[in-house]
Amino acid sequence: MAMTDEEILSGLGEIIDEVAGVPADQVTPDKNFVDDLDIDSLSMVEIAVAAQDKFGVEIPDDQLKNLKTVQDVVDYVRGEGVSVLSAAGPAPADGTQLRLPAPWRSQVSEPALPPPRRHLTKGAIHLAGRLSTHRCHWAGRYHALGR
Amino acid sequence: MKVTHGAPGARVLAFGGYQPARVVTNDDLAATVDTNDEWIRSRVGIVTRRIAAPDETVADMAVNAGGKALAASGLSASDIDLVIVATCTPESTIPNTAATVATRLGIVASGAFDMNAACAGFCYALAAASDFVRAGSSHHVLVIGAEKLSQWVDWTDRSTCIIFADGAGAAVVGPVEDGSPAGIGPVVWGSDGTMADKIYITDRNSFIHQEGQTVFRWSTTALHPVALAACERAGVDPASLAAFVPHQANLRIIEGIARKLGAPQARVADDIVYSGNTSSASIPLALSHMIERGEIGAGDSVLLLGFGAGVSYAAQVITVT
Repeated sequence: MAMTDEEILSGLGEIIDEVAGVPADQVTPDKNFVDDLDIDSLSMVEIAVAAQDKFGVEIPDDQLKNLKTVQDVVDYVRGEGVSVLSAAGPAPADGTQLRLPAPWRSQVSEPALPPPRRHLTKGAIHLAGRLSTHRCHWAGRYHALGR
Repeated sequence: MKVTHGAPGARVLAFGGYQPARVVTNDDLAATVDTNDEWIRSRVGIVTRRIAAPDETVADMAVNAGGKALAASGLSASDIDLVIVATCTPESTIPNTAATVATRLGIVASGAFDMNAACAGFCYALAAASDFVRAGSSHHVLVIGAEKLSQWVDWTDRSTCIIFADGAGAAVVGPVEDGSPAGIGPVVWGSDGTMADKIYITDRNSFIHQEGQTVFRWSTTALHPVALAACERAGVDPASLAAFVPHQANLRIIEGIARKLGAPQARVADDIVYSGNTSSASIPLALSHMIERGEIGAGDSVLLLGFGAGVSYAAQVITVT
């Protein structure tokens, strides 16, 4: 039994809500991932991996980059002939409660940590200075060995 | 030719961890590269990471973590007959780090070698140590994962400087007590050199580069079978795992693998939040923290999964002592 476009869209909405925090009801066919939904390329890979689990359809990178809108993904999934019985791979553990603190979703009370000793700008310059000194020294010895 | 026979099984007697004092926040990074706190928290899961002092070495960090593990084990330096340092960021390849670390810890005349399996390094080293104890090559092994990734990172490259950090974690491996079951399960390991160009340094004067999207896709699709195979080889039902401690690469990768294990009761390590990605140090560092906080304890089955540049990967189940 092939999935309808509505079923694919609904499943995709769940995925995008989970991956990118976009409410499923905002995932409409006309939406552009980058311009409308603010979804970057790494999130697209996450969506592709989740789609593979949910629909049993692999979306390789060379195809993924051509999928600009929600409808593009629906068309691709439908075009691969997905059926509710053909999901590949081990089933994800439904209802798995992952005991993660999800720092991006709530305030995290940080442990008492010592304050940074210096602003990173100075630190980065210091690091870069040490790095270039280290590398120049190493390179000098390397060349001295006649290699 | 004779052969030796060691113990019927090996176990981890104790863990120890070390993080440099300097804390670098997402806001610190946002001051110099085009990024922001919210993006880093949501895409990678890091809130703060630790960066070593400019003159703080991989050996320094390894000695610190190793010393803590040794102290917690109740053994003395003279009990250790092998030191393995898993690292891909040593200050030098000649001499290795392990011999120096052994000497600084007061361990005399032990075997000592470094090994490089990048972010899978600790799991590889732990498997080796377990085998040495079981074969009789060693009695007690000090296994350390230690990295100073900060000296190989381009601090103007926002795709890497927000992720990589410094630290060390260690484990003392020894024989199980008479009649007790093994505390370190069989390893499942492998590699795929066709992906060697996905996480790399071109030469010693270069920085770490990685193809983030490719690494993300590989790690969230190819690795859960490895982890499950390690459970099967150990005869441990994933549903009975108390914890899952994968390499702390990225919180979304960790989530992506964890949800495919069928281990709903397992606490999933999230040490990356305040540690960053410390390559071979990440797993023992996470374990040392989880034990300190009482999140895992004696008798708990814990699944370890290391994976990274190479690409290489290794998984085994351990029982916390």
